[in-house]
Amino acid sequence: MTIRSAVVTPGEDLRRPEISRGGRAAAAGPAGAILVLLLMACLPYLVEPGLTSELVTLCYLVTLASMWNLLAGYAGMVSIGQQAYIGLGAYALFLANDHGLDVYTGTIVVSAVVALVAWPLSYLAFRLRGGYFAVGTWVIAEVVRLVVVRFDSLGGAGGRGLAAVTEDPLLRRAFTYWLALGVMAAAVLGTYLVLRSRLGLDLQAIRDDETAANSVGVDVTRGKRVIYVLAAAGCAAAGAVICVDGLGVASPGQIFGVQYSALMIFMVVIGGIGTVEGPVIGALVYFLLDKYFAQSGVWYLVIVGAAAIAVSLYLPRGLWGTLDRRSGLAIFPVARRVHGHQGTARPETRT
Amino acid sequence: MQHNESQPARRTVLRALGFGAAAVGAAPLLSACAGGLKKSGQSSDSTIRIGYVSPRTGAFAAFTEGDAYILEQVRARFGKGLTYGGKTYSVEILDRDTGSDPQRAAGIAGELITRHNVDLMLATTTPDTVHPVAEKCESEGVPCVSTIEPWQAFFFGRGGSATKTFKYTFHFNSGIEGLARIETDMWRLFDTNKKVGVLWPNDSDGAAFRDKTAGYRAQTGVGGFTIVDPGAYENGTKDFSSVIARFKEEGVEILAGVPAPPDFSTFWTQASQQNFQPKVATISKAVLFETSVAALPNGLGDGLCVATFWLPAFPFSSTITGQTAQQLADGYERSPLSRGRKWNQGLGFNHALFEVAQSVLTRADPKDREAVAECLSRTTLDTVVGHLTWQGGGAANPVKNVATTAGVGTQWVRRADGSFELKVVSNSLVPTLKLDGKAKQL
Repeated sequence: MTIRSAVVTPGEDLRRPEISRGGRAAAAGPAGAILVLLLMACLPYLVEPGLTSELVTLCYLVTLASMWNLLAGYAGMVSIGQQAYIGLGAYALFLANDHGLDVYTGTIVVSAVVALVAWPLSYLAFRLRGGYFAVGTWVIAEVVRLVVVRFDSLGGAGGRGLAAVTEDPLLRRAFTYWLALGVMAAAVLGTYLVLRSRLGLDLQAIRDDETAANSVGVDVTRGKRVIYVLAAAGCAAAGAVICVDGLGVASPGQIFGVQYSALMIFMVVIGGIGTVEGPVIGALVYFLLDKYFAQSGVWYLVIVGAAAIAVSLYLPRGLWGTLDRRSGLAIFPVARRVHGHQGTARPETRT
Repeated sequence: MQHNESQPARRTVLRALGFGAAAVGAAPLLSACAGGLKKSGQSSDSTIRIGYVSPRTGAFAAFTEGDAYILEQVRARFGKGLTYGGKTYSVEILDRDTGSDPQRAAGIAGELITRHNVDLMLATTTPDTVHPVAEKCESEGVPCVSTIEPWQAFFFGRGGSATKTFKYTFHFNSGIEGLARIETDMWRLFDTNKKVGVLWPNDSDGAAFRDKTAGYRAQTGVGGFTIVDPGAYENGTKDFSSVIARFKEEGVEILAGVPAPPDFSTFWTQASQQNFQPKVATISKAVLFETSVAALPNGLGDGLCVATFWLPAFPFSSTITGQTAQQLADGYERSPLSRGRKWNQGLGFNHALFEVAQSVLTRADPKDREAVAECLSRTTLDTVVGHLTWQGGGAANPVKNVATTAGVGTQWVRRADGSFELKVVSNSLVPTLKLDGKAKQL
């Protein structure tokens, strides 16, 4: 937490400025978000399934972006190996499904199981720092892939389909959509709750300066480990959604592909790293770019690349980060703000 | 402090458990909510929509270079509409690029089915495109025709078996048995010690070839040859020394396999440096195109053999345009849409997809998905890639959903100017095709 300035104009009332997280707005933002989610939950009754099946993609993109933001934006862990957990989520879903669990309940179980796998793996990853950590996570992802393709029952190197899914296409589409929506809601609201908790405070301290945080009594490693495991669980849930949406995994190379990491980084950087809202905005931007330019051949990649360059050069805080800084707007206020005596909230602190 | 912290923690855990239980309990309840779900709009109008999903960019783009030309041709022909039962339907072809990404292929297939209500889906090139599209179609009940993927991967790789066949998804392509037949024919053209070194990577193709029951070694033509398998290697391997050493140690004189193009380039360069010189090399996938052969350093592509499943000399013609294979290839090369590129095998196969589409949509009610799927299972058609049939069993229809095509053995021969020419050296499966001469030893 860095207090950049606490401007008190001389001659004015020198009462102590109040520090808050946005007061009434703190409730209004999340309440609005929940309203939007409820509205989205009704969509299968209101619009044609074409739209909701596209929104499934948006939902898992938001989930992935939120998880990466939690890692890199709040705990300072730049991982390029989250595809390990996306892939594990998808493959664990096969196992759950083969043992008679329906894919929707299976998703919850799978994210818990993958969290348990991520816990010991974190000891391995945390031996490395910075750039080495990034490469190390990628290596872990590759190793996980190589182990998974050894199992013929999981389709080996060729991918496989889900054995038992809802037969009726209409029901399946609606269920898949609700599943994706639920996972997204859990990811975004979960991020928000984590950040408002004591752990959130620890994380913000860790992000700003690990050594300093350690010296004031923050258990740095514990905080990072909890986040690493949570992010793994979130990515696994997203992987399970991807698997349900695609009715299986076409190839292990794809589901364990590093392109997911590139995608997550892109969305978070575009939207604004270190904000709860940023990844949502970033995912939305990527989703729209993909929707409207994916058929433009190689130009698609040029456009996506140009967007990334433009944002990182001119809006280094990302779209939401810039908006947040200029207007002090926050749907999910986790930052403490200093209020002057006139009650005007200024985004004086960024947490 | 300790006490204070432990209290809320327990409460949090209980709360989380409550949420979890609620979520688990909610799943069956959801089934009750199906009543008011909105359905897709009905597509009982007079337009037939055909979805065409292909990897026009990305790793597999070479197979679909001809797409722009094929689509222009087919759109011109289908512009007059297709007639079934006295009613003429206008035709809309929705072509989509997957970027060679299976995830996007699945998304595209979903969009084409739910948003555009396509009546027939066509998909091409590799399991990465075909499988996600076919899975969507099978589950949504949309008829789908696909090609350019060994049929064993299409059928067995998607869980097909003697007892489980597919209702909506159909495929035409050669398989491992055809490839083995053609390759072993080419091996027999040379006097060797019958020891075959194989490059079968750790991917879906390699696994299909290595498979004990349906793979390469199970094929009849391979009997009499000794297969030397150094084991599955990872795609992207940079050092093949141990593989080459093994081949040299075993005295391998024949090389075969399905390596990825960059891996074969690495292997073949190192083999040349380490003096591993087989008499014949039959390589699938890596040397299908002239560009990939020409890309091998020092003209090392000269003399490599490859099984070819479509080439302009094929004695077949199109049911859409009436063109012979030669005319189709010439037309493509002359068209500005080819941008100066040469024909390749994808041209014939992707064109044939639309031939099958035209055939079934004029023989079954295009707006009745079950009827179209049922019609597909009874289709026999002479296309530009040869005779296709999804009925009658035998080698031409090994399983319900598959029609096989034939191929010939060909060899890349380097011309004086450094370009490469594909010569037909073995023709047992298409005996009407003239040989271009005798195969030369590497």
